[in-house]
Amino acid sequence: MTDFAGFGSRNYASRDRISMSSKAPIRHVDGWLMLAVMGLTAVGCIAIRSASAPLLNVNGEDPDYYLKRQLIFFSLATVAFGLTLLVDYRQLQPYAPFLYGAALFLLLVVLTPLGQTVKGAQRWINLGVFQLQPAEVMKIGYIMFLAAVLSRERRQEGPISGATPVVQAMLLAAVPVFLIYLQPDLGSSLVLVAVAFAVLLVAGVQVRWMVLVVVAGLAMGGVALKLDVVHQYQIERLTAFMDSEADPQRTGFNLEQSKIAIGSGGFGGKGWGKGTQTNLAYVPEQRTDFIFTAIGEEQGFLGGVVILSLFSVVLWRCIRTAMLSKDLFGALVAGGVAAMLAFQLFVNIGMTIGIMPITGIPLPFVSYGGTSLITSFAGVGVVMNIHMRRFV
Amino acid sequence: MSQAALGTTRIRLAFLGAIFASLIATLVLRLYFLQVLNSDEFAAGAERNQIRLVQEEPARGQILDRNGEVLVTNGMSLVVSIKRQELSPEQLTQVSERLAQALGVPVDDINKRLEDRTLSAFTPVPVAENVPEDTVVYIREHQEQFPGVETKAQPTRVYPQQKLASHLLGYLGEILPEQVDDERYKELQYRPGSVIGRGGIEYAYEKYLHGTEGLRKLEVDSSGEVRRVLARREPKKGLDLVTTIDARIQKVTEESLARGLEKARNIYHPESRKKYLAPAGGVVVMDPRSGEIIAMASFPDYDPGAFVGGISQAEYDELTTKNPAFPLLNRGIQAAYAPGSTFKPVTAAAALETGVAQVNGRYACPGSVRIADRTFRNWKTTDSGMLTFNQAMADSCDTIFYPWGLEFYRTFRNNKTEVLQDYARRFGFGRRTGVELPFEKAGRVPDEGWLKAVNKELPEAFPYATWLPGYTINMSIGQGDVLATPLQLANAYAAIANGGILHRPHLGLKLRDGNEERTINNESKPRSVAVSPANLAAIQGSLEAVTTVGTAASTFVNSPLNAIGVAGKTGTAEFAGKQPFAWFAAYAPARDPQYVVAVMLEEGGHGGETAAPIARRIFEGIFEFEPAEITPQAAVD
Repeated sequence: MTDFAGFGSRNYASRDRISMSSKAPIRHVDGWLMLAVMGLTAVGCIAIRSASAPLLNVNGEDPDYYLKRQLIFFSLATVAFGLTLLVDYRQLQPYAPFLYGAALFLLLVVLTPLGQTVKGAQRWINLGVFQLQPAEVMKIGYIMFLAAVLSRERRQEGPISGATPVVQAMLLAAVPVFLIYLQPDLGSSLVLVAVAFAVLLVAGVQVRWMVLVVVAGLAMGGVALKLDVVHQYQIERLTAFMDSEADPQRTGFNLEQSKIAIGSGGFGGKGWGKGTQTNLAYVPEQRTDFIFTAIGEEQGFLGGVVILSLFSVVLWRCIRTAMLSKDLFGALVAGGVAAMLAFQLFVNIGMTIGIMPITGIPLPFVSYGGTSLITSFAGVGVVMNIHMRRFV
Repeated sequence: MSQAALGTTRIRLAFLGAIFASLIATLVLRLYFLQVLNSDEFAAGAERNQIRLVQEEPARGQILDRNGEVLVTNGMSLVVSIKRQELSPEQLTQVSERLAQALGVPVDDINKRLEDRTLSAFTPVPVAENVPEDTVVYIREHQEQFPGVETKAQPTRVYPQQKLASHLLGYLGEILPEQVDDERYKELQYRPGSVIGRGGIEYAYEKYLHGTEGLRKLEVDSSGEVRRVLARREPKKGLDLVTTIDARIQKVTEESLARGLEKARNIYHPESRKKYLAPAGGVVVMDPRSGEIIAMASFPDYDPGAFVGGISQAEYDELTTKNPAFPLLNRGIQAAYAPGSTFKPVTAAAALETGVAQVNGRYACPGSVRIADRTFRNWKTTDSGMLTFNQAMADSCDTIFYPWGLEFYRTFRNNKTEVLQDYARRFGFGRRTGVELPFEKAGRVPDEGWLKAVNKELPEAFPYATWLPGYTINMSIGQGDVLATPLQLANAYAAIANGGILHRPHLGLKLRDGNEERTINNESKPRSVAVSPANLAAIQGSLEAVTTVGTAASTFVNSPLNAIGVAGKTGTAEFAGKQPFAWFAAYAPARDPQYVVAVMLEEGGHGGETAAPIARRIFEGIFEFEPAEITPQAAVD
């Protein structure tokens, strides 16, 4: 039986009246979360088919090629999702450093000749079925490890305070951020930073320490610019959204085309397969990072609202799970996963409509890509795990 | 974890949730702004992106002579173009330098054409035409060195008869930007870059020859590749035009004019103390029964092939500003001259019709006459005694015509009737003939109204506003301010030959669309010159006498043409400061006129001396006699 309740029908106090038998984890699967995630994945599959078929047709290839692959990824993702539910998340806590370490190892491997380079970025390890993107794995690994460290801290010393957790979070983030940056993949690095802030916030770190971190971060960014550590193309991509029309053929071109695609979709959209911008490939990377342009053009404002509504349900259920969690570890993990999803969706959709810089961040559940889909499902799986075991 | 700690954690989570909510609200607002408030603007952007209209020039119709011989047709020219939108500025520089070397042209020429902004960004810019095949093969084989360079065959104009009839045929050129909105071209929906007829028949029959442009509406993807043809209208070939021109006669006419001028340049002119310059001339051959133009020659001529694929400025200058003889000028219609004595049949018609002269009258022909304190001389100084009307014409006696001119002046002074001008207009002078060709000159029939106007406008050149007797007297022998084009003169003689009907001269005979053919309607109600048959017969007779006993008799001695008879009139026009202009207008056979020939030579001598021999050779060619060598005669009017 799935639990659609908890929102109005039953208040938190009523939990005490639930019998022990009804505390079995399987009886507390979050139906809302499941439906929302499945809905996003389904819309994603349709959009991937719509965005990739025209070019495949032109080249005489199977128009369902990417759809089929995404469905394979989805089946792998459901396996990963199932696996995350098997063991009580609290028992996973001690293994969090190993997950983090494994992800770190993969991030090192990807920089060796084993890593695959696509369009100048070395981000993938070829696993045959799909290309593993270690940065995606690290997102989950980082959330788990950071939550584990912070919750242990708090158990020992009572209320959390001081700069120690902030320093710990930053130290844990520093190495993967640096490794991911080397690929280079600025977007994924930023996801880790955003997650760090969210987890620290939920953990109860005083605001002044976070402000200090922001100031330090900005200072480091300034130094990075001065030292030319950041590639010129990254700066251009990051600033293009502020003046996309000044240089329409180059950096701003993608953004301009993306805005044209979404804007021309209008209120109701042009219909699946009928978006000219999508069909004629005016928007680059339209089945991966720019998948939202296909939805915006072909399903219009309504389609966008549906996607954002589904994400709202996901975020709401994650936050709610964090609130329901009896222990801090669970709250931090659920909050971290929510932050990871929220940051990615905001930056991804934001870049397609010109309010965020263009960075290579996929839209969770929707964008084409194996690792992203699997880690997103794994992340939601952990949240589901917390939700299911909130009475245990 | 304590309940209190859980409480603060929940507050912090709620705060995180609020941040998420505001992020999502931001996205929704932005989407609303793009997709609902500004959707139209972006929809237009998507449309612009995706749709390309590509025009396809139709094949132009051919121009044929009256017997179906091809005068202008289409061929293929190998064209090298650059797709400039595919290349970066550095690549463009590199490619144009390599191309310049391969084509053997200055790199500046290529760069200049690349700057052409009249072509759309998606149209490859042609940088060289008529490229030799091996150069094209070289470019194709080394395509990696020539990125964005395209070679293809393009239809062009081909002139199988080379320079033949170049003035009549005209040439092609790109429409000028300011012409696109012209009334004439608006209807045909031309755009910058359209190739149009710029002169002659190509201009006159543009509407039929051009054909209908094809149009393809293409869907283009982000890399400029065509995905689909959304709509297509096939280009429709222009209609073929069958003209009235007879290529064989045109050829004889051109040859005869060129040779005649060459001969004239060897004749010494005592008054100017040098040989005739004879730089230019024009000839018109017409069918007097219909107004069909059989041939028209203008010397010097030009090669219309030079205009194929666009003429260079240097080449164009050679044909225009840098050449005093203006080879592009069609002297048959675009230049007007004093007709000299060839105008006398008009004066004679006026005199006979108004009773100033009689067919059977006899008139004194002294070396000069004095009228109103001025001496008017005959072209020869000796007294010829008393002459009949027929002899007066045959010998072209000016001193007989002067008194008739004076009579016309008196009529004008007494009752404001401009008799001579009236007859000149009846024969088509002073007004465009209406031939299809562009830039036709109207010539001039001077009268008091005209004089007053030019006096007002140019008081220095025309100091008198009053019509003086000398004006009419000079006009009676085709001098003074009367001006006519060779075509006007030919048409006037056609009217004499055909019994008084003034046709509209024309060049278009039929339009062909594959096997379908339709005749061009050239009837614009032919006008009668309104001269009595008896008087017209007298004039016709006197013109026959010109070639048998008159000023052109020596030219036609021993000509096989005498079997059919030639009727004509010589003329010599004087211009202050210039050598005489020679004229001869004639028709044959004299009793069954089928062809009119009018010859004019600028500074080429006297009519009987140089112009008549040219006409003789043309007639001999027309009637398929062995054309005799052109032999200049004595310097007679």
